[in-house]
This record gives sequence, structure tokens and C-alpha cells, in this order.
Amino acid sequence: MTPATAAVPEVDVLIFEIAGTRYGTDVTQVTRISRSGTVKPVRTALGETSAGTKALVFNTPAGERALPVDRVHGVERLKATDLRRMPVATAAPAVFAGAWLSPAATILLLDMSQLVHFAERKIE
Amino acid sequence: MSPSPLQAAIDAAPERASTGDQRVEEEIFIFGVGALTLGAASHSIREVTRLGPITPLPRSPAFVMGVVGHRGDVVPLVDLLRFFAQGEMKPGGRSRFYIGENQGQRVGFLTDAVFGLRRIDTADRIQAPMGSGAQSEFVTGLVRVKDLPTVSLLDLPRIIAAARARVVAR
Repeated sequence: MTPATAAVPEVDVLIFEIAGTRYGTDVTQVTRISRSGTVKPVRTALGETSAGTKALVFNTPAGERALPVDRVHGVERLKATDLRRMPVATAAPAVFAGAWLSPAATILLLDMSQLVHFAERKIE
Repeated sequence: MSPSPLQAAIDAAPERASTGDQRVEEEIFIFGVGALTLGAASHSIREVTRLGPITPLPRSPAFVMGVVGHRGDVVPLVDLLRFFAQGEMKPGGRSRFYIGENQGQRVGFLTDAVFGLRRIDTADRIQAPMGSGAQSEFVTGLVRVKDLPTVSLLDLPRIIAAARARVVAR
């Protein structure tokens, strides 16, 4: 097999929205989508949900946690060639595993295992 | 045999240029940020382009507006007014951003207006007054350009390095 015909790795990414911004995460990191309030939520600096009644449930060493979201847009199968690491210049927190250069906008990809360390904190 | 006119001219030519003949020019990119008219050496600018959707980057310093996708790269976007602690920029339909680069790191800077490239004589640079605002440590001089307010010349690579240091230090 020549490099030109080698299959490009693909990954299924769950796309969701919080406070008007779309994010994505590896779908295998999400246990289920639940009604918000049924599992202990994590408060993050991603913003406050406004109309959300759903939450993404994921596992942590301390048990299940939920990330409240405003909307779940679905699952996208993305080629690795469409994904990017975060630019070094941003020194982005580890929760931002990378970005998807979608045709409409750049979508940040979250590592849910890092989410509990990503406490809400404003920096000036 | 008398020398030819060309030979005579060459014989009369000085050994080297006099100080008055030496004109060193540089090309600067001039842009507007809020009420400021700023310039940067054109060789430190890679590209000027329209502003696309900005993706906010939570928990980053206030001067980082977010990231933008640009030619297959993810580029952080800096608000120079916030960086200089002189307010904040409001992206609009006429906003542009330019890409600066320092040691392989590309950073986008939002602008309200692009005045283009101008050639200036380096002798026309004047020293920036001491302590003239938070941006003074990044201003290498001032220059007057026709039809524009006085332009503050920025050391863009230094700004990129300082922005990186502030991001890492938080």
C-alpha cells in the first residue's frame, strides 16, 4: 500500500453547544446523554448554559459527572487530517485537546478526562 | 591621449557615498486599532485577511480573543487594545486581522482599519516619549506619514514574545 492510498484515521466526535459556542469531544468519552440535574455537574469556564436541559455524562475516578449543555448537535466522523493541535502560543489548558477546522468555524475539542481539573476561573 | 568622458567621470567619483547621500528606507505596514495609528515592519507581517468566525478560548488571558482557522492552521487572535490596557476592540464587518510571526509562532492581530504599506526613511523616525502609555515598551519610534496621524512603530516580534510569556505565566 502506498502512502497515497493509506486510509486516513477517522474519529467520531460528539458536537455540542454551550453558551453559544460549539465544542466537540471523542464520543467514546461520553457514557450517555442525560437530563441535567440527574448526575453531579461540573462547573467549568466554558460558560453558563441558558436553555439546556441535557448533560453529557462521563466517568471520572470519583464517579460519574455531567457537563450541562445547551444543545447536542450530533456525531461527526472526522478525518485526522481535519484536526489540529492547539497552537503553542495559546498555552491552552490540557482540557483543549485540539481543534477541528470545520467549514463554518474552528471547533475546540475537549478531553473529558481533563474537564474536572478545568474549574471555572476568570483571568484578566 | 585624453581620457574618455566616462573615464573622466569615474576618476572624479568619490570613494564612498557621503552621509547626505545615504538614504535607508524601510517598508512598514500601517493599521488602526481604536484611536491608535500603528505600524510594524512589513517583514514581520505574513498576511492581512478578512476576519472569520472567532472561537473563544476559555480561561485564556483577556487579550486573547480566541482562535481562528486560517489556511489550515489554528491561530490565536490578540486584541492589542486589551494587551496595551487601553480598552477593548469590537470586531465588525470591516475588521481585518494580520498574521505576525516570531520564532515560528504565528499570532493574529485584530485591526479596525488597514492603511497599507508605506516606505519611510529611517532618518525620519523620532524617538517615542518615555512612559507614553502601557504600549511604550513595545514602541520603537514614531514617524509622520502623509495623510495620516503620527504612526507609532511597534516591535511586533517583541509583542508576540511578551504575549506568549503572559499566557504561560498565568
